[in-house]
Amino acid sequence: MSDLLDVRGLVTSFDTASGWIRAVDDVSLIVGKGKTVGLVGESGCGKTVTAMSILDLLEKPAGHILEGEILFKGEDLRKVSAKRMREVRGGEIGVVFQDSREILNPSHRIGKQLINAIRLHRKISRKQAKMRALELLDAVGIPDPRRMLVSFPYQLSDGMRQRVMIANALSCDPDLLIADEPAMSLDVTVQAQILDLIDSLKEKFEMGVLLITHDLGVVAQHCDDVVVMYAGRIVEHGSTRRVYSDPKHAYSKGLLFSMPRLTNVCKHYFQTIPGHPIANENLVSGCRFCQRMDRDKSVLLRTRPEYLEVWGDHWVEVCPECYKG
Amino acid sequence: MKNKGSDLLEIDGLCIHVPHRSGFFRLKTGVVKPVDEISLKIPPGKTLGLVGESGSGKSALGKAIVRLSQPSSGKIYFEGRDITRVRGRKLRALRKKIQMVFQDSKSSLNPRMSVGQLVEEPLRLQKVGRGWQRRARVAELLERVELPRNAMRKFPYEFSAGQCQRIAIARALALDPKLIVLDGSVSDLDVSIQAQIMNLLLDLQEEKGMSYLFMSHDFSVVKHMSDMVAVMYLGKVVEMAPAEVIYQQPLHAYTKAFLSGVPNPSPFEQQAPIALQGDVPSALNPPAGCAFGHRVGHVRYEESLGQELPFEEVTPGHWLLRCPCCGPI
Repeated sequence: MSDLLDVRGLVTSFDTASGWIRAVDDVSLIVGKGKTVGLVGESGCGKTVTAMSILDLLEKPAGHILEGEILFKGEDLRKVSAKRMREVRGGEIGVVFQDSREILNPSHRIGKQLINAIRLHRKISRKQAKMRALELLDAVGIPDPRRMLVSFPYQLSDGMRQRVMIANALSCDPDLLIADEPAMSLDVTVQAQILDLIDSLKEKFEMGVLLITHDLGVVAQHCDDVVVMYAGRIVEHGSTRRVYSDPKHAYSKGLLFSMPRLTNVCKHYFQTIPGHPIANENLVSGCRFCQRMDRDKSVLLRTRPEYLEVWGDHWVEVCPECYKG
Repeated sequence: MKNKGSDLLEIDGLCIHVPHRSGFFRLKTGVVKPVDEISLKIPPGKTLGLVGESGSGKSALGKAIVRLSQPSSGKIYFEGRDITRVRGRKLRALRKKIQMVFQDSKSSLNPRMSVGQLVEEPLRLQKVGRGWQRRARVAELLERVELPRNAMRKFPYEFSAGQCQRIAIARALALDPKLIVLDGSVSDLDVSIQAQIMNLLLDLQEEKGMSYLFMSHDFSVVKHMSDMVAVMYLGKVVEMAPAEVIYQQPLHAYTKAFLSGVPNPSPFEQQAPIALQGDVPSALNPPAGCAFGHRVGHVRYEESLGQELPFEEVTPGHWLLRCPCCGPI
């Protein structure tokens, strides 16, 4: 087993007023050691739910994992005890959540939050934990770590707070880092700093990184592999270079074309994907992207499209309308 | 003062200085300068893109232009007329011509009003037409922004972020304005929806010949929309040029750093590392001298101390905030 994280056929469902919704429908992905995998898709496609399923952080009792295996270092996280899961989460798997403002406790100083998190996973003294916290804050490029320890979250800028979140995620030398939109609400200049930081730390600690984002530019620069999700399913996955140079699925193509680029000419029209992501309530069993495109009903698949390996490790969902050989 | 040039909007040395008070007695402890000595022009039918990081003062400028806030000094000319201090009936008449679309459309739409009421509201307040005429106009507007017919009776919560943005655009269009201030109007949307909204905005501009002031923190989005681009940093415009020029030959060090930070969407080209540290300094305690030279710790930063940095035209149409550390020599 060389793969750090191997998710196989994950199905996550939510019990809502309008029935069971399969927010994640048969998702498989692999994150190797020292690799970054980008999970992209529009909002509501199930990226975050996938991450939360891996971490066993689904909102209960509404959310359930119905099927699939989540193998982390060969151990199925669905089968382990709650105690072991607590050790894994935050210990062996570090997490950076989307909104640092909501995650950090506003009434405790940064130092206290970091030290507590470290001591939760390691049997070390408060003093040692404090040294470790200082070390971490220094590693994520915070100018004055000592002052940071006694600051409250509201005193920090968004970029600084995100760095504290990363320091927190790294506090127990994780093998895998799950970063859910780590730089979404930040300015490009700060965003670039944060992502470069994750890259350099990945190399230093030989982590695997699962980077969840909707920014295809970020994926191009920072990920080895890319997984494109639409409406709970993976439509295409492969190495970033393969997928970007030769996208096979109509949805991946659409996403790449509708992206604003600096290399495009000024003031020009985009090629876009018509419609908007479909609501999870009325999903069809056939190809879901066809549903959005309002294609002719007679040509639609009735059953779920199969996967085809078009190239070494480049997989695509083959629907006759969305994938033209 | 009348007929100042042929531009639709002209801003001359606009400042918004807000006294900062703190402590028990609310004593004045400093001055925050969200907008400091800004001069811009927007010709009719064109788009000026305004880029800057958060906290650079883009929104403050936008709000001053639509007269939601009062500038402390400087002048705003619209169609050659000074509108800096218009009030009452004249201001209401002006609102017909300048409209704004906010960043977070969901929270800018009243959740208790139906979409029909929301789009009708500007027409009603300006007393345009009779009830049935207004309703016909609303239907026409909703169709123009490609919303379904039955949208009129629905409420904002029933729509996605992209559709709410369309409602906000329909509202802004209702009075056929000459200028629309778009404050980060596409930045929170998914790429495919963002592209749709931008196409819609480009179409509308061609159709009606409006001008846009398009504000965003995303350089690549601005490129798709603008004829002219102005780059803002800490309350000042550091560089302004026609769009093609600024992307090919940026002169100011900040523009260059900002451009290099935009993620390159090609996995085959390595992105050049950017020489930019830290965040935008707070507008409360701006560094003396060149604010950007201070952030990067430029060797010639000292020279800019105590100097008034001039905003000059370097080549025709290309304006630059001259300073010893950040510009070309």
